[in-house]
Amino acid sequence: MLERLLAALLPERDRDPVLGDLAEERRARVGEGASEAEARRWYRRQLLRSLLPALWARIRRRHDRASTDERTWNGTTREGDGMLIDRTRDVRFALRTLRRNPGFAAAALLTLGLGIGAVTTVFTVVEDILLRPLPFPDSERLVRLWQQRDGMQFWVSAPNYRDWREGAASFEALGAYSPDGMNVLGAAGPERLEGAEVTASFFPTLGVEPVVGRGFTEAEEAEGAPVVVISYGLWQRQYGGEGDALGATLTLDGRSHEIVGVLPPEGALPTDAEFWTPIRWDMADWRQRRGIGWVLVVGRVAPDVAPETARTDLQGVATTLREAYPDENRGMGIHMEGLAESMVGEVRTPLLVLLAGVLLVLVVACINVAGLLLARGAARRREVAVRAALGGGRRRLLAQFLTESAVLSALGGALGALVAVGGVALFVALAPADTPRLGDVAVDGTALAVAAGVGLLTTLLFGLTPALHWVRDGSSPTAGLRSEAGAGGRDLGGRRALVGAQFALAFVLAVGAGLLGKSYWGLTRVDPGFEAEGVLVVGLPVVESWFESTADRRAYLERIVAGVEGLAGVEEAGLTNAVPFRDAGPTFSYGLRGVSDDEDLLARYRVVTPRYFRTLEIPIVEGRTFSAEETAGAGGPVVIVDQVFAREHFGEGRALGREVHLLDEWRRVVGVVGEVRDRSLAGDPDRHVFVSVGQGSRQSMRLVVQGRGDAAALLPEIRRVVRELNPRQPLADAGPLTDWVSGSVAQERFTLGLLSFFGGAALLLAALGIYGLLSYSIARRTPEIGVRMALGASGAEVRAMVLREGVVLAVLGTAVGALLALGGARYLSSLLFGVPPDDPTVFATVGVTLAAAALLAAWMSARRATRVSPSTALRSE
Amino acid sequence: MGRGDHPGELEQMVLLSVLALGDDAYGMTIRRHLAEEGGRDVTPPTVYSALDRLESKGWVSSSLGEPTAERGGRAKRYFRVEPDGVAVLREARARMDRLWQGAPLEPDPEAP
Repeated sequence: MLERLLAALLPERDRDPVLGDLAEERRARVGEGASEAEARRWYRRQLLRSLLPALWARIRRRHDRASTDERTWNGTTREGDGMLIDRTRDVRFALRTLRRNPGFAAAALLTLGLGIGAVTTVFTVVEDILLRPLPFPDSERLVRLWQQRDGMQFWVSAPNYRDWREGAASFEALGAYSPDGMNVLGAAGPERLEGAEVTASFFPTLGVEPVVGRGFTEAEEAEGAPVVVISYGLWQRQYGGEGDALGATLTLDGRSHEIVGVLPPEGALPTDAEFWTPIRWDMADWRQRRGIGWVLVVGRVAPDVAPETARTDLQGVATTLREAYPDENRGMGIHMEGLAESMVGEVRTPLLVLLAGVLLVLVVACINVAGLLLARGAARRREVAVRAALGGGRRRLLAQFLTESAVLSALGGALGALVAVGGVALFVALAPADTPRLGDVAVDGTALAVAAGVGLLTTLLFGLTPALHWVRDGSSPTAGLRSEAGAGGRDLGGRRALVGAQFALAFVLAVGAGLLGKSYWGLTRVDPGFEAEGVLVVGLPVVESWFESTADRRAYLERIVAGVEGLAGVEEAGLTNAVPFRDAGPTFSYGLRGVSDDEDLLARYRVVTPRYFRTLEIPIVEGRTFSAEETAGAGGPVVIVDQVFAREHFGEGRALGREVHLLDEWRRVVGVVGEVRDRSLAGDPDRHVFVSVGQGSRQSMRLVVQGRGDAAALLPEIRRVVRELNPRQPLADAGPLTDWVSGSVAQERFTLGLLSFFGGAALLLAALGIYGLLSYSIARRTPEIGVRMALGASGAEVRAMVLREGVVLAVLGTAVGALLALGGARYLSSLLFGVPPDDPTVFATVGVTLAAAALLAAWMSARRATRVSPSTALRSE
Repeated sequence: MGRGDHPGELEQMVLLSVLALGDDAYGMTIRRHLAEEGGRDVTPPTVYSALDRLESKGWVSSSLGEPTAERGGRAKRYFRVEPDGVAVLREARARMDRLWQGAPLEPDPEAP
C-alpha cells in the first residue's frame, strides 16, 4: 500500500511523525466538516505527493550527515554518500544541457544509437550462430564422421558404418541417418515433407529425448518397422499438440506408419526434418554394398577422451577396413569434425569479418561524437573556467563531464538496443536462406547486456578525452577567461589525430568492401557451362509402390516429360537426377581399360533424358546425345562424358568409341559434352558421366524446363499436366534455376552488401569528421582570418589555407589506413576469388574516393571560412 | 533554498509558523499553518526537511511528544524556535525592509 511505500522511502526519524501527522490531519478534516470520502481522497493525494519529497529527504539526510561528519573528522574527507547527491545533480544538469542543445543531442544520440545498435546486432548474430552450443547435451563431444578419399569427404556405406560402430572404442555412441523426403497426402493435396531414416542409436547419440512417447528400438531398426517419430512443429500443426497423436497413423510414400514419439522443439538432424523413420537396411540391394555410401554418421566421443585420441582410434579402424576390403575401401580414411563446426564452419570467417567491420564503424562513430563534444566544449570554456575559478575542484569537474558522457552513452545505448531489435529482424530477413542456425538468431538478454557494455565502453572512449582536456585547461583558470585567439594548438592537435584515425579506419573498411566487391563481380561472371536463364526446375519425387517394374516407372516419367513438352510456352524439357547448383547428386567410381584398379576414379553420376543437354544449353562437343532406343532401355550400354573427363583420360577429340566401366558394365562413349560447374562458381568443374534413363540405376528425378519467356509462369500449367497424369504426384521445390545459381553466391553477396554499407557509413562519418574539425578550426581562427582578409588576402587564398589543412590530414590518414589495410586484408583471403589481398586497383580506387570525399568536406568548410567578414571577425576578439 | 547563514523563503515561513503556533507547533499544525496562512501547500516530508535543516543550524530544537490514538499510535515531534532562530528572522526581515525601501514599489496592502 501507499503507506508502506512512503514509510520505506522516508528517513527513519521522520517516519512516525509524518505518517502520524497525515493520519491526524485526516481525522481533523472529518471533524471540521469534510466527508469521509473527501478526507480519504485528500489523504491519498498527500501520500502520493509525499513520495518524491520523502526520497529526496532521505538523500539529503545522508548527505548532510556526511557533511557533518566531514566537519567533525580531522583531515579525513568522507566522500561516500555525499557523492550521491552530487551525482543526481550532475545527471539532471546533463539532461538539461542536452535539452537545451537539441541539434547536438540529436546528432550525438543518432550516431551513438546507430553505432551501438549495429554492433549489438552483429554480436547477437555471431553469438547465436557461432558461439552458442548446439541444443544437445554436451554438444562439444558430438562429431560427424565421413569416409575420406583423396581429400574429399563422402557419405558412409552401411557395412562400413556397422564396422565403425563395432571397432571405434573411443566413442560412447554412433548413430546414422539418411535424409529422405517423403510424400504425404495432406488436405491441400500431395505434400512433400523432409525427414530422415535413422538408426535406433541416432537419438541417444545426439542426446535427444522425445517429449512424448519414445524413440526406436533395435528390433524396430532391424525389421524396418512402420513406425515414425514426428517433429514438435508437425505435432502442433497436424495434431494440435494432443496426446492422442501417439498411435495415430501417418502415411508416408503410401506406407502407413504409427506415430510412437514426438521430439522436443529443438529437434534433431537434419535441421529441417519433420519426421524420422527407422532406417531400412534391406530396402534395396545396393544399400548393402560396401562401396556405396548413403548414410551420414554422427558420434558422441566418450567423456575424458581427447579428440586426438579419437582420431587415432579411427585411423586404426580405417586401416583395418582398408586391408580387409581392398577393393571397396581403397584409399579410404575416416574424417572426423565437430558437429557444430560442420554446420557453421563455412560462415565463421564472413561473420567475424562483419563483426570486425562493425566495430571499426563504432570507433569511427565514437570519434565523431568526441568531436561533437569537443566542439561544444569550446563554447563552454568560459563556463568551465568560471566554475574552476570559483573552486569547483578538478575532480568535481571531471566527474561532471564524465557524467555527461555517461548520460549520453546511456541514452545512446538504450536507443542502440532498440536499433538492435530491428537490426536482428532485418538480418534474419535478408540473410541467405541456407545460413546455418538462422532460426536460432533472436534478441535476448545477452544482446541487451552487450548494448549496455558497448555503451559503457564508448563512454570511456569519447568521454575521457574531452574531459581530461578541459580539466587540464581549467587548471589555470585565467586561461579560459582570456580570449580564444591563438589558443589553437593543443586540443586541435588531438582532434586532428582523431580525425586522421577516422580516415584510416574508413580506408580499411572501404578496402575490405572493395576487395569483396571485385571478388563477387568476378564470381558472377564465371560461365557455369550451362544456361540458367529461363529454366524452371521441378522435383518429381515418386513413390516406388506406384510401379510394378522399372520399365513402368520409366514410361511414367516419359509421359510426364512429353506432356510438359507439349505445353505452349515450353521450348525444351528434360529429366535429370541432379540439377547443377540445386542438387549435389551421387558420385560413383568408374574404371578404364588399361588403368589399374588401384586408381581412385570418381565422377559425378548423372541419369538424363536425351533432350536434357538442349534444355540447359550444354553444348555437345563431340558425338551425339542418347537415342530413343537407348532411352527405352535397349541398345548396347553407352555413356556420355564431359570435356573434363575426356581431356583427362583420352585427350581432345579421342574419346568417342572408348570404353568406361560403370555400374558393373563396360560402356561405350558416344558423346562428349561441355564442362559444367555444378557446385560452386569459384571451384573447378568436376568430371561427369551421363547415362540414359533407360540404362541407368533408379534415381529420384527432376524436371528441367526451358520456357519461351518467363519459365516460372509455366508452373501452374505444369502442375495441371502432372495432376492429370497422376493426382498423387507432388511437385517438390519448384523454382527458377537462376535462383539456385545466384543462391550459391548469396552469402558472398550478403557479406559484401553489409561490408559496403559499413564502408559507406564509415566514409560518411569520416567526411563529417573532417568537416567538423575544419569548421572548428576555422571558428577558432576567425580573428586570424579576419586579420588576413583585412590585410588583403583573397577569398581563394583563405580557402586554399583551409583546404590545405584538410588535404594534409586526409593524406596522412589514408597513408596510415593503407598500411593497416595491407596488414589486415590477409584475413580476407579465404573469402576472395581471383583477387589478391593487396590488389592495387582496389587500393587505388579507395584512395581516390576517400581523397575526393575529404576534398569535398574541406571545400564545403572552406567556403564558410570566406564568408567571414573581416570586421565581425576582429570584433569577436 | 538558503544555504549557509541565510534562511530561504520556505525556511523563514516555517520559522514564523513555529513561532506563531507556540506550544502547539508540531508537524501537522505547522503544515496546516503554512498552507492556510502562508499559502504554501507543501507535503509533510518537505516540512520536515526544512525543519531538519533549521535544526541542524541550531535555529530550532525538537522534542518527541506522546503517541495518540488519532495518530495510529505514532509519536509527534514538537518544535521550538531557538534564540538564534529569532535573531536570523529579525535579520532577514531587516534586510528585506531595507531592500523594499530602496525599491520604487509599495508593499501590496491586500497581500496575506
